[in-house]
Amino acid sequence: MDNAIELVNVTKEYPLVRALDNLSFSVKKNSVHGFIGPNGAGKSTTMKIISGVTRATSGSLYLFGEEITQKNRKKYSIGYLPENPPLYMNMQVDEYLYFVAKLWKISKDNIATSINRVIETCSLSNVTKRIIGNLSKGFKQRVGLAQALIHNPSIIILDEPMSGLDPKSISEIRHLIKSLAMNHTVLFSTHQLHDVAMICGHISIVNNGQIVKNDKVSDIQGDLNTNQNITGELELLFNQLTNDQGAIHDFIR
Amino acid sequence: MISFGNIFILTKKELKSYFLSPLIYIVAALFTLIVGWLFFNYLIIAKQVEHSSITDTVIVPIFGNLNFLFLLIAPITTMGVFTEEYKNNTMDLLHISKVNDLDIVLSKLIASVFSNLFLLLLTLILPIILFFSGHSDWGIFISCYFGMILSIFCYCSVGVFTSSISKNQIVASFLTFFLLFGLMLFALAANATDNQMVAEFIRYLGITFHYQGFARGAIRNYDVVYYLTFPIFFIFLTYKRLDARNW
Repeated sequence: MDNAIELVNVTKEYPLVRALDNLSFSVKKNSVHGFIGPNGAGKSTTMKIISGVTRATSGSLYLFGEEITQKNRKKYSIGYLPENPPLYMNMQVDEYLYFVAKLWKISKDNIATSINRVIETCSLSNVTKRIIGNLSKGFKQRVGLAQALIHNPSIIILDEPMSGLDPKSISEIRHLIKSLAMNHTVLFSTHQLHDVAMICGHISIVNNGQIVKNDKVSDIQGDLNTNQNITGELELLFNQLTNDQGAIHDFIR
Repeated sequence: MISFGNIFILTKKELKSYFLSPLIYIVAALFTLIVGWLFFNYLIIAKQVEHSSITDTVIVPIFGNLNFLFLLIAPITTMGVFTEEYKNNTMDLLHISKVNDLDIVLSKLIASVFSNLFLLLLTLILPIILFFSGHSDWGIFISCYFGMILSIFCYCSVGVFTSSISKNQIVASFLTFFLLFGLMLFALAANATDNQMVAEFIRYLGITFHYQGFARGAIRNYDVVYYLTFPIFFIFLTYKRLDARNW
């Protein structure tokens, strides 16, 4: 089984809204998979279902080939960074990471090592004693990322991890995500097609709760063959698949 | 399956956030001021009333007032327990980690009960003052404090539940207050019917009816049963609420 994540005909209904409509796609083990789509397409809902924050109305979720039910939901440890990082604003950074480590039942002997590892990975060493509420948006995002990595999860779900970061931080996070792919499966959503082109091996484009494209980035480049750079091609494809006629027109012109 | 380790971690975090916030100290200052003023007044009245004991003129009425004060305080101390988690998206973190929903509910309840018990602890000055003035009826104090602790458990369980169903702290606190006040009014509602059975049943549902026994120094088994089932019912409702959030 070389799929780490597989969704089969997943539907999620909220009152008066069908957020996901028979959505199916898979993410290969130890890969970085880009998840893109316009606002309200269903990206965050899909990520919430995979991470276990919410449940699908119908359909199946498989992690490493095993169907996830209510009983085995907590068997797989998943690192999840939502769009707005889950932070306790009155805690210090190190205190927060210690609390998260405890939530994940990291053994006493390994807690300090795990905290030091994520502090170094996410470049938080200068702010460990700072109150989270007083940090800048970029640092809050890094703390959010640190909590998603602290238990060394096999699957990492990142919902727009680069939002609010400065260009230097974006570049650092990009390298970090790339490096994570060696031992982890990373699914991340973004609006920056440039990031997808630089980091991802595979992408899925979602629109109106359905997957409209799920392919290798290199294959997409071959299919389009517009002599644009990959970011440009992705932008054209994105606009085509999400029916943004105005944007396509502007792009071609 | 309840994990005491998880409950301990979460309760510790909750208590820290309670005692790092200025809210609890503001409430404590107002609370001690009101209780001190009431105590002083009851002592003055006790001196004026002949042939009456300190128990009847000071202790019973002051604990009646304390019960009502906690009905006002519990909504304030519990209003943020879940609403803050919703606001900071930290419920998602708790949901996906190794803690289960029941651990979360119990830790919230325990922490909010402890924060209220901290306030109740401040009232221990009253029996100490009475002890030094020669009063020695300790049974009534034990009974009153026991009833108070059970009442706080009930009030906090309602507060934790309303906090879980609202994303707004003010709405949560008003809901708690009106629910608790409504339950208190059950004692009056019982007078509206001529049917003795129905009247007794309605009276039984009200918190005041059960607290009265403790305030008089009588610990009745059906009062204890009521005080134990009441929070369990609201813990169940809160647990179901968290579970429903997943669907």
